[in-house]
Amino acid sequence: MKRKFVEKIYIDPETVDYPLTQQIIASVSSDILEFIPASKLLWEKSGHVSLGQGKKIILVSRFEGDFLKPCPGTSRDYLCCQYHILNPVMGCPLDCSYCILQTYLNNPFLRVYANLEDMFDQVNDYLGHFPGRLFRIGTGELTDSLALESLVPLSGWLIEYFADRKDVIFEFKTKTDDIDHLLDVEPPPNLVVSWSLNPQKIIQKEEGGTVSLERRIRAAQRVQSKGYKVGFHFDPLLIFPGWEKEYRRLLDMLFSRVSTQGIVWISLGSLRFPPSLKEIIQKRFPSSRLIYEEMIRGLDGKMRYLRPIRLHLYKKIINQIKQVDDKVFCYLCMESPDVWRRSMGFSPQSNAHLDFLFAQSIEKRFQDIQLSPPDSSRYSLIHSSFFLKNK
Amino acid sequence: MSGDIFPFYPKIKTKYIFTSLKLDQIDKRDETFRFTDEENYSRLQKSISQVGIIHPLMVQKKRDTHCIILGFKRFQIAKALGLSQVPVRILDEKISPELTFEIALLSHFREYRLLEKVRALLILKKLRIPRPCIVQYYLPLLDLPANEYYLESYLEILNFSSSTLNYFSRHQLSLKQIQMFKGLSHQEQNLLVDVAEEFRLRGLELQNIIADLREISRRDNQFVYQIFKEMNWSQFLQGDTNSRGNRLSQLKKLIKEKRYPELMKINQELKIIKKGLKISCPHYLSWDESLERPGLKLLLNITTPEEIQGLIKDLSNGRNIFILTRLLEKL
Repeated sequence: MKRKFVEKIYIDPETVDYPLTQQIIASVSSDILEFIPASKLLWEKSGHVSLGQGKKIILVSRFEGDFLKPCPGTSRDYLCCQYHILNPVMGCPLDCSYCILQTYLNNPFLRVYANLEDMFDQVNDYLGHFPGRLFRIGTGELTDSLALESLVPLSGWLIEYFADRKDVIFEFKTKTDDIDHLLDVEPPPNLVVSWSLNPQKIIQKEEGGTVSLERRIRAAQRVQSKGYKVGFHFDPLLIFPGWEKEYRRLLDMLFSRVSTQGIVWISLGSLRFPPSLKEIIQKRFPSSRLIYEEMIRGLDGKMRYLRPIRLHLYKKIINQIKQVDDKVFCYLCMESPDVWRRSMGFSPQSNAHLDFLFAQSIEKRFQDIQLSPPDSSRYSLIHSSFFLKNK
Repeated sequence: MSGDIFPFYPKIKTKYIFTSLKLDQIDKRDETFRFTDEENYSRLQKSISQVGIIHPLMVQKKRDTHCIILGFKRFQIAKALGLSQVPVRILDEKISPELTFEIALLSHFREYRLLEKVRALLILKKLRIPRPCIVQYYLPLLDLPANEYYLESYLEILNFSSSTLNYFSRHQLSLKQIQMFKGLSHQEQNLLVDVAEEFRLRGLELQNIIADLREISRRDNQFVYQIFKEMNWSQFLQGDTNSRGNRLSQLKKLIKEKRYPELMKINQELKIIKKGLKISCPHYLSWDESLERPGLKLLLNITTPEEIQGLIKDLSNGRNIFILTRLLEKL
């Protein structure tokens, strides 16, 4: 089903010959297409287009920067998992009130970068610097991996490329149920389709443009029965009246429908955001109450719930998951070693160690991926400065 | 000035008329072009009473009278001093109101205050100057960025209650500080002005208090005055036995307790537990009060070897160990 929310697609004439651009042109009606150099559009319009309006406008252009990057994560006071993000699209058509992209991206448009060959060359080059280790890469950080699929058919390109990369677990992360195209493909063993989940009450109030919890879980069920591996992200976990009951019901619903054996990972992360986002949320989502909960400025400068409250939140959810299946790999996103210890019973020694633990779990639990036992010495710390050094 | 968005000013052969007018030839009620603050006149009054009016008033003929463009204060002082006439420069009748006002704007050689800018923008609006023209031409004249946001924000200030506007004017609050009052009812604005006046709050301190109150109000769906009522606001107004500083600290503490109940509660508990610790040398036990960083910090002042022995004894004391362990568990 074509997403109705996109009202205009601007195409930089420089990109017309790229296959992805051709696919986009062929799949949409010509009255929403306009050809204009990206620089001109950005110069003339980005200052006058609001965040909400920008979500209805796609701009197809070339990208000259790094498509693949370590997840920006957060400061060293908290543990990060060394996930990598691949960004052929930046900007999300969905409109979650708490979304950090509202302050993170420097223009409001949905940017699609059509020079995919350059992207894959960069991935080849980058991964070539780190032989003998497993990378987790996904497209769902600066956009929703599947929300634009009907207009920008990227999944096929990504699946085709990453299916052959035995050193990568590739993840599509979404809050939609646009999965029909995945059901037509033989699932590569190293592909994970994952959903970000929250109670329906929150979805209705705070996650504009996304599909219901029921539809997300049904979609997860469908891809799992097709043979795909799945993942779930309880991020952001939110405090609201009745949260304990609502999350308990959500987990009951999830585990009654999805087999835990096929779940590659479950992440947990409580709401956190840079203070500058507060004002944006107040303006764009005046009825949202999330930002008025009791929060402090964390060691990374971001607003977070109090540590005792976060601990309570994590413990509740982890206990329920572990009661169902204690082998499912759960991890905390951007949390301190102390919170790890108190909620999970242990803490990775470093970001690199956490990265290694992922590989270890995947190697043990998913033999079809045919990973050799990971060597911890290969999982060193990856700095974003790597990119600067290699320019 | 030319182009689509700017008003077109025809070339006028201006007649320079410098003369004197009797006070009754000037319409004092016509304040169409008045935008500057009414300040203390004493210095100007002293000067005029000694040497007379040095700079003539600027007026424009309007039917059978004249309206003041510049010199409202001089006119008032002249009247108060009982002068019969004042020196004036009469602007040509053909000069449009837009240009007349622009002349007025450019004739003050000082930076305008916030409310003066607001009044100037309101006059431009009343003169029906197109918005893009106000934004691009007049905002920079008022030392504001040529951005629609500033026009909107400044015009919004007019919606505040009169006592709030008075307060802004007297204390030269910044736009950001003023915007803290936005969206509050006049009753709430007046209450916050009372708080600010009572405790002589300025700048960031006031901004922080209002920010906390507004967040409590949004979280609990309560009006700010209801929050004050719950806190028994009147207790902070009677300062006979309690100094202003103390009352302000109490008020701030109460607001913090409402905004951060869990954080305040845990810190309070920790402080109570801490009281049981007995260490003989001078010491200071602290923790990160945001509770984000775990652990305790113990600062000691040891001057003699005997104190080291005493400290070892203190730290191995069962009661102290119990207290430190309890604190660490809670942290």
